[in-house]
Amino acid sequence: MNIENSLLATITANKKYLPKIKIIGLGGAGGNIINKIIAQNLFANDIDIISINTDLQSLENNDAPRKIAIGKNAYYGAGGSAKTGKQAAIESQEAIKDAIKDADLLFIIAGMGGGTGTGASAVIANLAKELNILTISTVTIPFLSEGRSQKAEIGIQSILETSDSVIVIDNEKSVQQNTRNNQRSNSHNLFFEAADNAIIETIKDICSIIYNSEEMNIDFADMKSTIQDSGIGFIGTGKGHGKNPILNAIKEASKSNILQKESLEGANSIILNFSLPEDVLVETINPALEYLNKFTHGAEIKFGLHHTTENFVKVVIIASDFINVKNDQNLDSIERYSEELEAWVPKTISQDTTDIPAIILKKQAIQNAKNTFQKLNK
Amino acid sequence: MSDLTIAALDIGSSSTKTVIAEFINDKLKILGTNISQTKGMKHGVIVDISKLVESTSEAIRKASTLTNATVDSVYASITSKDLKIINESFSMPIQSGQVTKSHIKNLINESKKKKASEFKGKHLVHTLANFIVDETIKTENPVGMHGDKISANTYFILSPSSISRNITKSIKMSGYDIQDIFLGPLANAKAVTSYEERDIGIAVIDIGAENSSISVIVENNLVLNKIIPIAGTNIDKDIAKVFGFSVQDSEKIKIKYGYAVTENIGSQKIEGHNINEYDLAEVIEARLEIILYHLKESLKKDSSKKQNPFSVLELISSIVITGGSSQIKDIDLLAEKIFAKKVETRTPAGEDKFFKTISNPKFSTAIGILKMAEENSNVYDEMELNEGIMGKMTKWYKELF
Repeated sequence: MNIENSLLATITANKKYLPKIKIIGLGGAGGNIINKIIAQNLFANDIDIISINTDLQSLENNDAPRKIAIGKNAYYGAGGSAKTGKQAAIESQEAIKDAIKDADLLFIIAGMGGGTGTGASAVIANLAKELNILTISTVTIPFLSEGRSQKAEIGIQSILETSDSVIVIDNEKSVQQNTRNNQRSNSHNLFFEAADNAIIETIKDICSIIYNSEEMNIDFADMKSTIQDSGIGFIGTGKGHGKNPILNAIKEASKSNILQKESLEGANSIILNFSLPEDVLVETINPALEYLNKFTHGAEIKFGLHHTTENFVKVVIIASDFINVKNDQNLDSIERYSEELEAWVPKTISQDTTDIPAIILKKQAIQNAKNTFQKLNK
Repeated sequence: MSDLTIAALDIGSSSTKTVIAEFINDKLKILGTNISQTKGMKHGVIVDISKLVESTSEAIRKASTLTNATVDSVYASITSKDLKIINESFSMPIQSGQVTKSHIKNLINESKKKKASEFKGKHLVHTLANFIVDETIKTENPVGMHGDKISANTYFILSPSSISRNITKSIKMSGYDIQDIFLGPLANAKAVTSYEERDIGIAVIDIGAENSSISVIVENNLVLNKIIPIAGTNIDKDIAKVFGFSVQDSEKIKIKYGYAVTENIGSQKIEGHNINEYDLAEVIEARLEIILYHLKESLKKDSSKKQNPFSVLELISSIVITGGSSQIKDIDLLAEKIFAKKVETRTPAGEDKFFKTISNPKFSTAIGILKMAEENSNVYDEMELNEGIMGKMTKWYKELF
């Protein structure tokens, strides 16, 4: 499908173009989340939900309306081997292509560290890229105690190469977040629940931007240009009450640390979607945008909004295209400079030192250093 | 408050800055300004109160004559190197399910009680607080919100009683009523930063004539304020000693031809003086390096937040420089190199059109005092906690006169 043409068509029809969204749950962890999504009946029927696995038995127990078993010998699963998972996806690529080809936006949900999720997700993301489908991979990385960390890192690296954006949900972090919010939830299952919910929320939030920005529109093209080829992304949501609800919401969203990317700092492009109560003035968004602009050191910001009947402001932030704020060369010169000052600036402030012009103290120190250096070289 | 003429008074060691403004429908309109010499004060310490009274009354008189206005009352600021910032948290259940003023009153009073011993001999200048309802919603004004539990994170800013007493006394003896006393660095920060900046965290460096200070404001609370007794005058004296000018001439040359960074400065002669730009910049740079180095070091020594593993510098996003010496060209570049943060110099006018007429950074604190007077900053004090600000002031008067 040619998106630009369809956008044109929708403009002439003066009606918002709704892109086709598909969600793939990959492997055991992905399949579990798909089951939850279906059980909660979260998404309208026009979003396609697909489960993909190498394990037939597990697929049989899945509630997705569309299921694809991958691999020639699909039956027993990938046995924890990412290589087998990858091979299986390559063998079944025609079936996968067929299932996703009419999508504009594809979510891939997978757990990193096992066989199918780790191995197959990069292959699927690659197929999507070939079909010009915007792809957001939402992956969980396992607990350190599960001992699968290195494999998970490799898995993430390979998806990063192909997926437009990778949203990494760290189980350890979601546990921290979860225990902070609710002291009583200490069972292992609840920990996984937190990570799963984070993925579901993330997808829901992105979909809501596409479906809900009625009054000021973020169109899909905006979203695509922000997310495409952007690497590890940040997504956060926040609710804001009080005197400065918009700002409070943004602050909360920028601190939601369930994702591996901790801060918005250094983001080059940001999409925001506001849900505003009727009594919150649209004008008050401006200072909040300035705040974000300063905080990120000048990100390009696009936003949409709609009104709600709730009594608080909700904001969804998607940020991407991060640059490394502190580059190493810069840091080096800062360190060198501070060592230089350390060498000559008097450590105590006294009449004696303030009476002598600072430049004389500085030059003396430089001269002394030179003398010592010469002595050492003799 | 209706149609009331007030004076904001920033008594610095070398000069007293006065801004006269009029309250019209709770909004302030600036009528005029004045800078005159301060007497009886050295490095922020009052050394001769009768001289201070003399220069204070002259400062207000000059400003009111200039603006043709009669000053009804005065707002002043205090600065102290012995400032104490006490941070305390307290939580309580909200039995009624809705936060009321009395919850806030209790939270602040309880926090105060926990630290009662530290209040001895101190004047409570400000009570700043943040509230958290049900451990999720953070706000400065929770009154009317619903929830089960409320906690307050309160900052008490205390100065030695003698300082407030002496300032109050000298203003009173000049023949004016004192309406309120604000903390100088906080007022200064309000004049040159926005609410959002103070919310995410910002440091304000104020380089005046005799003192330099750094204030760190995070979530609209002053978390740190440090003062060092080296500032603009030291630069002037250095220039005077190295090149043989008078101190007054040195100050003028500094502002007109001076640079804070020697990088990229050529050796072109300065007109009318037998020195070149590079040599001048070298002298200024070295002194500013000492000032900024010590301001940065003072951040490391802060121990008010034991539980916080971060250094204060990590709490802020950028730094603003203001005060008389911020006029030195490229001072922002020098500070950026030393602090490794984004640095900007600002004058009190900022983005606020209302204050557009005043752009001299010397007026930052006085303008900040007006802003605080306007927004009635001492809201928590006004809730008649133990003793409202007015109660507190009246009590002093009784003690003093």
